[in-house]
Parts: sequence; C-alpha cells; structure tokens
Amino acid sequence: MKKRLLSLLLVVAMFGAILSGCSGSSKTTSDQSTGSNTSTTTTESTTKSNETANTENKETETSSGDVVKIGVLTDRSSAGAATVVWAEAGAELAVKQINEAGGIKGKKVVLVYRDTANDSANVAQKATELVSEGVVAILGPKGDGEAPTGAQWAETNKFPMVTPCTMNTRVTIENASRYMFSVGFNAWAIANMNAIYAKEHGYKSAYFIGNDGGAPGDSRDFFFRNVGNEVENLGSSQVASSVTEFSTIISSVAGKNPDIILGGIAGPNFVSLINQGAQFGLWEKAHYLGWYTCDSTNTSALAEAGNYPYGKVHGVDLWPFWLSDIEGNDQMVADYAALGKELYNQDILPSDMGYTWYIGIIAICEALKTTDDWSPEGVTTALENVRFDTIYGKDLHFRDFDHVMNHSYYYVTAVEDTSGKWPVPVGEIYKVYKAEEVLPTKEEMQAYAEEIGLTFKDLSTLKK
Amino acid sequence: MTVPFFFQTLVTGLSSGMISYMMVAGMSLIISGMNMVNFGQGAFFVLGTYLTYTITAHIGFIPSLIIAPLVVGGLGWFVERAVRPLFGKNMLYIMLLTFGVAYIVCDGMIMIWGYAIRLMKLPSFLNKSVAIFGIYFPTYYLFMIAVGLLIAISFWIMMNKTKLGMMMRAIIKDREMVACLGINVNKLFSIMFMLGTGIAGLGGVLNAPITGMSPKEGLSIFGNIMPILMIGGMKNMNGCLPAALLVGLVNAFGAIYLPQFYNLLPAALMVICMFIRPQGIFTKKEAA
Amino acid sequence: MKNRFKNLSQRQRDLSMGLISIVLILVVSMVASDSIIDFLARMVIYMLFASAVNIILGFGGLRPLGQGTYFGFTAYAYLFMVVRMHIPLAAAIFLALLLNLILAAFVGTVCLRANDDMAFAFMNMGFNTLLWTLIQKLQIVGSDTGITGSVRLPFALSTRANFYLTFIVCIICITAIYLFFRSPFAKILKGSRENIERLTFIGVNTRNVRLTAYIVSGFFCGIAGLLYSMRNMGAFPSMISSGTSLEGLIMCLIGGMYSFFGPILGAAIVTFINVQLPIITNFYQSIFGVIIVLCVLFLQGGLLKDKAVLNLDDKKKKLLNKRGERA
Repeated sequence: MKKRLLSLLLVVAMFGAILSGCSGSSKTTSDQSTGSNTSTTTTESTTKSNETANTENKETETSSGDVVKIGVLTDRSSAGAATVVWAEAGAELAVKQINEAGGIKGKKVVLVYRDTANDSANVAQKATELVSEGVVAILGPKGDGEAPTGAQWAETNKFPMVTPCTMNTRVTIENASRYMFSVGFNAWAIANMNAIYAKEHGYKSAYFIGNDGGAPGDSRDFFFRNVGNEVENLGSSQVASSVTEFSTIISSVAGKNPDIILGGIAGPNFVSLINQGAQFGLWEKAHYLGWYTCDSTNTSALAEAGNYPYGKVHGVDLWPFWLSDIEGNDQMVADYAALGKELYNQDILPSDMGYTWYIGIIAICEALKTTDDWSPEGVTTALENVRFDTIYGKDLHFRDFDHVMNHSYYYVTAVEDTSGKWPVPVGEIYKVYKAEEVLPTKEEMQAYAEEIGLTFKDLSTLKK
Repeated sequence: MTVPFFFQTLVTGLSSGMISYMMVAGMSLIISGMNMVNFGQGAFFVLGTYLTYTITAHIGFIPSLIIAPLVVGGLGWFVERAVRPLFGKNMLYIMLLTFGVAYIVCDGMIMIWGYAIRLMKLPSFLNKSVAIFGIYFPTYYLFMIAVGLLIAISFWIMMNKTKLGMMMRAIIKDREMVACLGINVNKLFSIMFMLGTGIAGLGGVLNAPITGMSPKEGLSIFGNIMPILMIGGMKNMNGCLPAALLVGLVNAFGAIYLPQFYNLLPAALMVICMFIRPQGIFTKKEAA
Repeated sequence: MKNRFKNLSQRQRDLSMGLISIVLILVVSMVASDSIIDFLARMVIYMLFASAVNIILGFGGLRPLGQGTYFGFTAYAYLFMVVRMHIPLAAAIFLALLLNLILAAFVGTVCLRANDDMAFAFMNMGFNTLLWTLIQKLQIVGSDTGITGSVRLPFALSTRANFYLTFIVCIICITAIYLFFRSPFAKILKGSRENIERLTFIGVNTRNVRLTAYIVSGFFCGIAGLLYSMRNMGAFPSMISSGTSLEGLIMCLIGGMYSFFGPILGAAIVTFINVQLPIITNFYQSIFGVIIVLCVLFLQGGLLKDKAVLNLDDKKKKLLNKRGERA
C-alpha cells in the first residue's frame, strides 16, 4: 500500500512538473530568490513552487506595459555554472543603474533568463522562447562553444543578439551576421597584446597550455604569427575542461625551460594550473601570459590559498576595478557585491566576465534609448549606430564591419594590493591599449579569411 | 631527456597515479564486492573536498583527513540503505540510482557552499619542496604518494589478514554461500560501501589544496577514472593500484611526447587494453 | 471501460496508444508557437532515440552505455560532409548513415568479443568517451563549438516544416522498430535476454544475434542524430557525449524497459523535465535526481508495462493474496 501511494505521488509530481512547464512561465529577478530558497528534496515542495511561479507569472504578464524586457541566455547547470553568479550580477548591475536613472523612456528594464546548460542544441529553442516572452534583444549565450549557434539563430530569425563570449576568428568569419554583436574579449587582440609584451621583454621561448577550443587555439596561433622567429614555440598542450591534475604537464614543461607560459585557460583549470605550478616552482622560471588576469572568479581562490605568484602573471583585463580614483568605480564595485549577495547569497568581487555582461546590457539599453522603433530591425540598426560612454571610457561602439566592441584593454601584471583593501590581486598597469591598436583590421581579417578559404562578409555593407 | 628530468617525470607520474588511485580504490571495492557500479563516486570525491574547506578552517588539516572521510562514509551508508532493495536486479538500476544521487549531492553542495571555485591553503608544514636528483619536487606530492601507499597497504592488510577482510573476500567469491553460513551479509555490504565512499572522500581531502574545485565537477570527474577501472579489471581489486600507476606514468610521459592529445591517452589506452584483454590487464586468468 | 481496455490484446493496445500519441502531438503542433514546435521536435527525436536504445536494452538484455556515439557520429559526419566537403545533401545523408552502420558494426564486434556484460557496457562507454574527447581536440570538426551550417532539406526549411518532416520520419522509424519487434528475430533476441545458455544449446549463434540487434539499434540512433542535426542546424560535442547516452538510458528506465511505448513515454517525461524545469528553479538537476531515485526504487521496470507482464503481476498478486487468506 505504501509503495503504491509513493508511486502515485511520484507520477503526480512528474505531471505537476510537466504542467507547470507548459504554462510558459518567465523567470524574472524576483523569481530567483524564491528559487534559491526553496528546498527541493520533497515532491510536495515541487508542486508548491510551481504554484508560486504561476501566480507570479500572471502578475508580470499583465504589467508588460511599463517594462521593457531583455532576454538573457545563461548557464546554471553545467560545469561552467561556477561563474554564473559573477556574470548575472554584472547584468543585474547594469539594470539597476539604468532603472535608478529613470529607466528607458520611463519604462523599467527587466531581465528574462533562460538556461541553456552550455549545450548548443538548446540555444535556438530557448532563444525562440525568449522572443515569445516579448524581449527586445537577447544577451547571450554564455559559453564560448555556443556562440556560433547563437549567431546562426540570430541570422535566421533576424533578431539582435549581443554575446559576451570570446569567439574564435574562424567562427567569427563563418558565422558573421548583421544581427550578432560581440562585447567580449577578442582572441586575436589578446594574442597581439601578449606578443607585444613578450617582444618588449625579450622573452625567447614559449609553451602554450590551454583548454580545448577555438578561442584558446587562436590566442596561441596569432601569438606565434605576431612574434615570428623572435620567440621559439616549444609546444602546446590543450586539455579538456574536466582535467584537474596538471602536475604531469607542468613537469614536462619545466623540463623544456620556457621563458613564458602562454595561457588559454580559465575557471577551475586556471586555479589548478597556477596553484600546482607554484608548488613545482614553475613561476620562478617562467611568466604566465593570458587573459582574465585579475578576474576574481579565478583569483580569489588562489589568493585565499596564498599561493598566487604575484608579479609573474600578466595579461589582459577589461575591468580595472582597483582604480579608485576613477569616479564611480568604488560605488560600482560595492553595488556589484551587494547584488551578488542579494541574488545568490554569495560574496563576490569584481570580475571581467561580469563586466562584459554589464557592458552588453548597457549597450542594448543605450541603443533602445536612441530610437522609438523597438522592432528587431529597429533595435539592430540602433545597436549598429549606438555610441555611449562609461566611467572607464568614452565613445564605446561596435565596429561596423565585424560588430566587435571597441573596448579599451588593460594589460596588467597581477600584484598584491599593498593598501590591504583588496583580498584579491590587483593589476599593475603595463599599458592601456585602445581597441584600434590591437584589434585586427578589416584588411587583416580579409587576408586571414582568404588564407583559410572562407569569404569575409563586411557587415557594414549590410546596413539598412 | 636528461636523467633528472626522467626521474622527475617518473615521480610525477606516480603521484598523479596515486591521486587517481584513491577514487578508483573505493569504486573497485564496491564493484567487486557488491557487483554494483557507483556512478556517484565523483560526487563523493568533490564532497570530500568541500568538507575539507570547512573543517580545515575550523580545526585543521590533519583532523579533516579523518573527519571528512567519515562524514562521506556516513552519507554512503544512507545511499547503501536506499540501494539495498535493488540487489540482484538489473545492474543498470543501481547505476542510475547512484547517478541520481550524484545530481542531488552536487546541487546540495551548491545550496550549502555556493557556486564559487575554491582552493585550500596548503598546511604550512607541507608547503615546502624537496630536492630529488637535483629537481625540486613539492613535499605535498610526496605526502600524497605516502598516504596513497598507506591506504593501499592497509587495504591489503585488512583484506588479507583480518577476519573482516576474509568475510569480504568470501562475499566477492560467493555471496550466497556466505549468507548460508549465517554471516550478516547486509551489514558487510554497508561496511563495504562506506569504506568505498570514505576512501573517495579521503581522495577529495587530499585533492583540496592542489585543485580548484567547483560543485558541478562531481558529474564529470567520473570520466577521468573510468579508464583506470577498465585497465585494472572491474572485478579485480588488486589490479587497481598497478593500473592507476600505469595510467599516471602514461600521462606523465605522454605529456612530453604528445602534449596536444594528452587527454586522449587514458581513454585510448583503455580501449586498447580492453581489446587485448577484456578482464583487465592485471587480472590473473581464473580457472574456469 | 477499464475492463474493455483490459480485454484488448497487446497488439490492439499498441495500436491505440500509437494513434493517441500521434493525434495528440499533431493537435498540439497545430496550435503551438515556434518555440514549442522546436521543443516538440526535440521530444519526438528523443522518442526515436530511446526506442532505438531499447532495442538492445529492454529486448536484448544488454547494457548499452554508449549509444550516444551513433547519435553524435552521424550528425557530425553529415555536417562535415555538407559544410566542409560540399557534398550534396541527399548523398551526404546516405553516406553518413552508411558510415554510421560501419562504425556500429566495428564497435559492436569489438565490444561483444568478450561475452561479458559488464565489459560490453563499459567498453561501449569507453568508445563513446574516446570519440567525444577526440572530437573536442580536433579543430577541423570545430572542437568545442561543433560545426554549424544550413543542413535542412530544401523542402523543409522553416521550423514548422522541419518539424513535420522529423515527425513523419520518426513515425516511420518507430513503426519499423515495432515491426522489427514483431519479427521472429526479435523472439530470438528476447530469448538471448532471458536465458542465453539455453539459446546457445539450441544452436543459435547468440553473438551474431546480439551483434545484429546492436547494429540495428545503432542505425536508428543514427537516424535520430541526423534529424537532431537538422533541427539544430549543427553538430555539437554534447550530442556525442556520455550525457546523451545516459539520458537515453534514463528515458527507457523511467518509461518502462520491457514495453514498446515505455521509452516513448519516458522520452516525453525526461525532455519536459530537462527543458521546462530550469525555467522554474535553478536546482532542477537535483529534482531530476530525486525523480530518478524514486523511479528506480519504486517503479522498477518503469511506468508502462506490456500486457504479458501486467498479467503476470496480477497472477502473482492473486497467489500472494490466496496465501494470505489461508494463513
């Protein structure tokens, strides 16, 4: 009898889950706090949380006249979910700033989230769902591997999408679309900046350690193209993202005695590599050149463990959060931390990934402010023409031929914060590069496209 | 290749193998004894790591070496009670149940500890390096090799010299006979499972100061150790240690000669070994 | 009404369930928006995949932990041929399926060599992991981004049209699997599941029987993969990962391994959970885990059971009740 009752409960729970999904709920920021507090181990609470979600949905749908919705494709389920709090807090920070300044033409901005689980097969369906929710633009996808699918969807559905991913150059050329905009890092630019640093410091040999993937591969290939014969290529190791044990790679690298380790690695792998490298004394012999250098998702764990090789790690950063003399910087950092606490009950420090999400939302909102036509075509044209300032730089816009944002890149060395304010490494600025100094020019992209047998689409010719 | 470099690679390979051995040893025990595959082993491993972060912050590293495996083993006891009604039925049920448990444990870790990537500070007495053949080798890795050997030896002693081990070996050979003899097989199964998960937890503890860990990795870590299980032989507990060391060495030397395909080596080795000898390379051919 | 349903033969039950599900999906698709059509396409493809996995799982008695290999491999082969080698679509479909058959034959032969169940399961998984790792390393198949391209057939370019094409192909394939189960060969396959030694005594080459079943299963998994790549307009590493294989297994187990419509129902449930539940809560994976655990513990054999199995259960219950009365 007990068995039958339990199996009946199980079937009810399953159908409850199905039916609640069918009601097409939208997950707004208010839903998030209920989601993280709900206990999920009993079947009764499943049906209860379904009911609360349903009633809240009805409220948001009726008030759609006063809000403008922006869709976000996020990743809360795969191994990449380790950084989701930092990313989403960046987007919410932008929303908070815009809403406090009065919103867009009097309407409040609201974010609608969908989880693609780092699986490209989900991108098209979730993006279409967001469109049916009434969003005017989409920020996403989160993972580098999903970017081409996003571009393909944007092109097929003619809907504007802004991505914070780092796209590999081949993919950028193959999937060039008028409707896709990139606010993330650019692998070619990173390679250029690393190459400049290497040449100016007279390094003679380099070894590459990176994740599997196109973007890390690019940062290596373009680096060696740029330095030519000045730096010897000692080899390259690309590891899967599930690898945790780098001791064998480090010991093999140590034997080759490189001057620099070129890094194309992020997340838990970065933490493991730097830590294990420090234990093997690798950073006494070699320097590390990479990107996301002062990104706290990577550095806070290392700083806490006390094994960070200060002064040996160099690379590209977007958010110079340690520059307190920039007006508004400290307030932004404080707001960012507060949002992380409020949304996910997590203490967070500034992160480049959060900054790219922040700039993405700001770009979309600034574009929406410039036009009354919020149809997909209208928003796309507005994004093509948008120009705005932030506290860190002026005249940010998307380049017209490849829709890459002209960030100023900070090339820094990660050092310990002497003032004691920051528990994470801060950046000692080597140089601040303007985008036009390091991003590939149109001619370079065309030449590269010809080399790999693709046609380069100049997106400025597609302007309507 | 210079001689010091060769020895450094050798020692690195052995230590890397030892770390994997921790996770595999527990699984091998559970498979050979209870004929069930525990897909959730990776989740217990990561749970051990996370427990260490909290326990070490309050008490210290050495106590956490003892407490964390006990806690993980306790959780294993609960799982074993849940699995018990499924004995003798299709092996898949148990595999999927442990898989479901892995999902629950991973999300539970997020609920308690949050999403961040974490690393632990090395205990100061281990944060040194030792010169071996002129190359500096971190003390902590030697510590790991030592603990791994200790576990392997104590396992061997327990299995072969104690009464408990004798009963376990009997269960591995012929479970029904042992039950007929009046021994409480269920209790022994619980102990086996707790030992298996406890060792995985211990591996997690050792892993805490060297690897950055995030909660969702519990689901993917299993793929790293599967090759070792297969090479050593699924039902052969003695084959675990040599297989782990072999894979560690292959990784170490492979990283020098085939760095781009470094990940593929264990999987390729597994396929080759299963092709040549499906019961596992280190299994003695049993008389029929 | 209930008694009338009980009196239907197995064949009539299958026919009625099949018709009901087809009509249901058709009706929903008529009124659905584009994103729901996309979701239905995914559900229907996974129904085919689960049915294909069940060929060797439920009816063959083996434990295929790596059927995702064929799902992903066909997709990649198709995309690679169309996008990188510029082979015309129809030829690419045919070639991709052919290559898939060859791979299934090869892997099946290797895995079934040792007549050990566990070795089969894990070697299967080993090939799956090997291919997945290999694909992520090679830049030419797009490493982590996969290959994207417009690979839909020219008469089915829109989402809706592609869905109807997928739906029709899946109906045809599932019917083919159903007819396969009605064939004498399937009886021998069931025999190899129940008592393989006795079958060998009779003189049947059980290894060939299992190999044939494996190849057929791999073939249909490949068709599902092909359809999925058309839906997504791309082939991605997640299609060939062990996650997909395990999802197929879970679908079969939740829905019912020993019945024909079990995997289909399981596919519907699991797809719903994976796609719709993340909208409500961040911790949908733990809910999924709880459902798996409860299903395995209490609903062994899954939700749906064949008439024969239900009758057996009824008889067992009656026997136990009788014993209870006497005692």
